[in-house]
Amino acid sequence: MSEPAGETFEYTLPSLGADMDEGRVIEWRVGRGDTVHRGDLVAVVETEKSDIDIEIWHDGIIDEFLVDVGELVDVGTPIARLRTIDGKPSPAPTSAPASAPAPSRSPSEPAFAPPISAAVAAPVAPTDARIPASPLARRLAADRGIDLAILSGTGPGGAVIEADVVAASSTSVPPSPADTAKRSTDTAKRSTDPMRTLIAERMSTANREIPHYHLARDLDLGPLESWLAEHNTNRPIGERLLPAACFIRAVALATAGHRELNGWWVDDRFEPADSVNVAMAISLRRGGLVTPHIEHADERSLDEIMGALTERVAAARTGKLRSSWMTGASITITNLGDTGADLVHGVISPPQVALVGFGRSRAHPWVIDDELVVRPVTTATLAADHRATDGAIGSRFLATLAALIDHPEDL
Amino acid sequence: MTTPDDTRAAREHTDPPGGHEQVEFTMMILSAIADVAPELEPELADLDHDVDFWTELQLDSMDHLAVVTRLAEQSGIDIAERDYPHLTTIGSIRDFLAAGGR
Repeated sequence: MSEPAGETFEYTLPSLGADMDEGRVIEWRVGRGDTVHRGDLVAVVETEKSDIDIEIWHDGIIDEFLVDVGELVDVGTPIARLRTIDGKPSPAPTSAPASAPAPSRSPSEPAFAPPISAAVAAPVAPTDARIPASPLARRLAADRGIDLAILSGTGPGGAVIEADVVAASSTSVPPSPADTAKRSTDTAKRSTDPMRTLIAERMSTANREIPHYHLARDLDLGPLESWLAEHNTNRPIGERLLPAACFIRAVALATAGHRELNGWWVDDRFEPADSVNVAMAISLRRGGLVTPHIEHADERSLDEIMGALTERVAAARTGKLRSSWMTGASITITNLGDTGADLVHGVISPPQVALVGFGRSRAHPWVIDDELVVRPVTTATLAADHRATDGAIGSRFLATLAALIDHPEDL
Repeated sequence: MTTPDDTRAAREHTDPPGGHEQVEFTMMILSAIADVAPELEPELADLDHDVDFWTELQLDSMDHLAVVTRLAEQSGIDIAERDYPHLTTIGSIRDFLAAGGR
């Protein structure tokens, strides 16, 4: 392979969440020779959680696709080769968008790498002794008792892909009906509910590694609900706000004022995030949840947050999330909604250090000026990582949040 | 597995006697729900038109907004927030739309 002269670069499969380590391109949205610009959607990638539209992070011209549609590949695998547009420099790793820090705890958790961390045409051949192969090829080979080392891979960089294993097994020993049956059982078992498996792994890690502390504070939603009712009167439906948008805005502002809660616990230390990227847990009707985020949420107006929220919920529920929403969240909100429970003692999404929860709004006794009244009340909770902060900071955060919710007109 | 014919039969069966317009609004409501929540489509044929379907189908406030937005766009009828509490069943929304939003 000749040394790249800074004119071509490879676009690698980005990690679309801390728990993703493989995916398959199910559709190219661009063709060979197309000029693409930073932020353009280039492909639809199927992950265990959802189909996600992935974005390119550098301007260029599509030279060649390096994976087949439908082929399962590891995160970091080059999936397309691009040429730089004349006169523009080739991308350096620093051109990757601000994202969570790259260090990961284990090879199976490569998430939070900047989307094109390996974009500059690096030698594809692995530096370790591990034989390059796609996860599917690995599993097939294991099922069929084939040694990967004896195969010559035809995938990117000589990686062994499914077709190589299939070819090898059909030339040596044809799979017996029993093998076939076993494989389909395995496949069925894996695909029963991959999202459940991912959530299980993620939450087990969180519970095992994060010493959580939990705080709660009741918030009077009276001012917010009256302000919203008035605000929404005479507004066309498309411009109306929901309480959820106000919660996100308030959390973003409170987080901006308490940066100790905004970031990641990585390599035994707290790594503050540069921007407040608020993720929200969106439950899916088929089960499970996804947590896309809104970048720079503290710098966006309520209307912008409402728009971003609507867009992400619709995308989550129709399986069309964008890759840039899926990495780099610095704090997460879970909102139980009107029909949920009163409060949530949340589990933090690692490597983040805080999760804010909102219970349902309920009629509740409340004291104002020594008078007992009935108000709409929600219980806001904070689950925070005790390695990163102490309860005093968490308490101050909730106090700030309460003050913000008390004055919705200032949100 | 329901076929479109089954769906239509079920709908005609549960529809109270009403004009052509009412059937159209019913269809509009069901398709708005199906757009927002495609997974629920199979359940829509058997949906009782007199129950609170938001609760029945576990739709949340984001779904609610999305459905109402679609209905307003398609019918051209504004649906104010103060009307929301009355619009909980297929029947009540259909009547509301058929009456031009009153």
